[in-house]
Amino acid sequence: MVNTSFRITNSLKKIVYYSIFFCSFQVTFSQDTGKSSAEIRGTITVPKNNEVIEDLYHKRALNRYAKHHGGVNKTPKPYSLSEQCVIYIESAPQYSSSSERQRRAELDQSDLMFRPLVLPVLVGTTVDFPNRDELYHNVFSYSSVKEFDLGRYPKNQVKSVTFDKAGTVQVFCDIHTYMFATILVLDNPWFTTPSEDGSYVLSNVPPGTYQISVWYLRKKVDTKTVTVKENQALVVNFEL
Amino acid sequence: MNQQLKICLTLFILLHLVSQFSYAQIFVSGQASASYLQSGEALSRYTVNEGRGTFAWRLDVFADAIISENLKFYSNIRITEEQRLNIDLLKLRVTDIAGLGLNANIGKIFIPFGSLGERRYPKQNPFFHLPLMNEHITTLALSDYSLHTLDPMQVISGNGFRLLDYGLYDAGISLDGSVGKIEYALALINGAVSATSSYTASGLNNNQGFGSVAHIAYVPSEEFSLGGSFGYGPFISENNPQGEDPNHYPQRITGIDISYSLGYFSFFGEAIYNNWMFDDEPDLNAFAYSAEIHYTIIPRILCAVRVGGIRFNEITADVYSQDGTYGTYTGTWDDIVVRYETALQYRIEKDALIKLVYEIYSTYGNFGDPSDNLLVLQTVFGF
Repeated sequence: MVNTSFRITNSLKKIVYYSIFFCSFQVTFSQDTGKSSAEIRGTITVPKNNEVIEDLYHKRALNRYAKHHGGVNKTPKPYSLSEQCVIYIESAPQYSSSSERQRRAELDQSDLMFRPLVLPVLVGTTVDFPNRDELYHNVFSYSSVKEFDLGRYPKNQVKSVTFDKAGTVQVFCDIHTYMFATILVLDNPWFTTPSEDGSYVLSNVPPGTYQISVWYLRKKVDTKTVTVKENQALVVNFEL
Repeated sequence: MNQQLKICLTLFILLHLVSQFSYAQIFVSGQASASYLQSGEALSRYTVNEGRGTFAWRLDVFADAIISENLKFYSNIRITEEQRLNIDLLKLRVTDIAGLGLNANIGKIFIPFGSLGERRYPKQNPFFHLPLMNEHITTLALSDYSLHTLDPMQVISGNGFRLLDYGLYDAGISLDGSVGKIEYALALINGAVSATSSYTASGLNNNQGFGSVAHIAYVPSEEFSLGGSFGYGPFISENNPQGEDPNHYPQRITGIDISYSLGYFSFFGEAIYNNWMFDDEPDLNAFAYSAEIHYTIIPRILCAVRVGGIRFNEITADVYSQDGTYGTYTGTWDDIVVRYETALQYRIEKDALIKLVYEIYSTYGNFGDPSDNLLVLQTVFGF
């Protein structure tokens, strides 16, 4: 009897444990796969010291023929992580951009810096270049993807360029030679910028094998090959 | 060579000292240019190597540093194919003194006259030369006050004052700042702006009196600037052969400058009126002007044209002829010159360009208009 009741008790315990385990598994599973397609998520860990910011700051301040306008001597706000880092899928054959509506993005010029430092856009996007400084800027690029020269224009004027070919576009100012930014013109919409804590999510990724890359500051710093299955939540972390 | 070594050593020690400050970080950059020059063959101050095709190069090295938030260090060494090493710029800049927006420079400084600015460097200058007013070598001899007006060999010797001496750097101190739409700069320098003599062995001019320079500009908007300049200082050496007091031989120079740029178009205009004043002789005056237009035709390709000229006042002087007799000369004290320049520039990359420049000189003087036009092919690399 004792043995029997003991067995029953043990069996009940197992049932309870299995039930709890199964339920918890179910909860976790449903959170991760509740969407119609897969996602890639993870964390970007970047070095603490940000040399480029220092570099930009110093060079910006070193203006040997300084005009005396306000704003030149202001300390610029440092770039946030989302302004200097992009996670993107290199190419996605399944994706066709023809159905996408016209998109717009903005590469700001303020405090003698381009913002963001790296701007990801989809092919076909028109990028606006507003000048918010009390000085002239002359935005140009000689990149093979898109060659343009917007000429000199003053504060509050905006000039625009449409990027119709995928690739990397390096952007400069002809007057302030240290000003620099990169526009990543991508052929698919699976790109994002990380939050300040480094976390990122690429949602609605179709199943397949991809190369996922990280652009940080002025260059691509890491690429990983990943295979994502339907309804999978794939975790891909990067340590730069 | 010893002098160059001294300069290098001094600069090295200075940079080393600067780098010892905790905040200091030295930024080294520069521009290198190589040129092929082909001029006319006539006897002229503008003829290059008697008309033979000539290769020339120039290297500018900039070493800048931030010592503290309000204290910066700038230097510029220039080396040319003539193996001359010059420290054009070697200054400390104190910014925003007492929160007043006032800045001070001390050392070998950029003289605040006119609006040449960064156009003095090959990468920012679509032409080969600086404006004529910065480069024309007059017949007024250096460190002396004798004229060589009537001696063709002296006229072409390249041994005379410029109105504005080349790169416009000199030892001194300057203040600059702005009040509303007015920008100003004041400087005390060593001597006059015509006699900074970057190319003397010491790298400094050889007159030691104080000169003063001021520039004030009205800048109502980003695209437009209207400025005025004034300079005054002795132009002859203390060691002049006649033993004269340099303070009795000042240069007084005034100028206006205007600039406008928008979109793909830029215009720079400047005019100066110069007096070299003599104790017992009539003044030697000169009026010079320069106007240039740059236009970016398509990305990478820029064209530019410039016209510049210098006119001189008439004098009456006793002259000594080769036959041993004295006579009187009446006429301009130097040849009137007009220079027309055209340039086509192609940017290979952001920091690399190639340009083709053609200069036409028209000289109206005692010895006719020599064939001295110049064709230049120049490549410039920034680093």
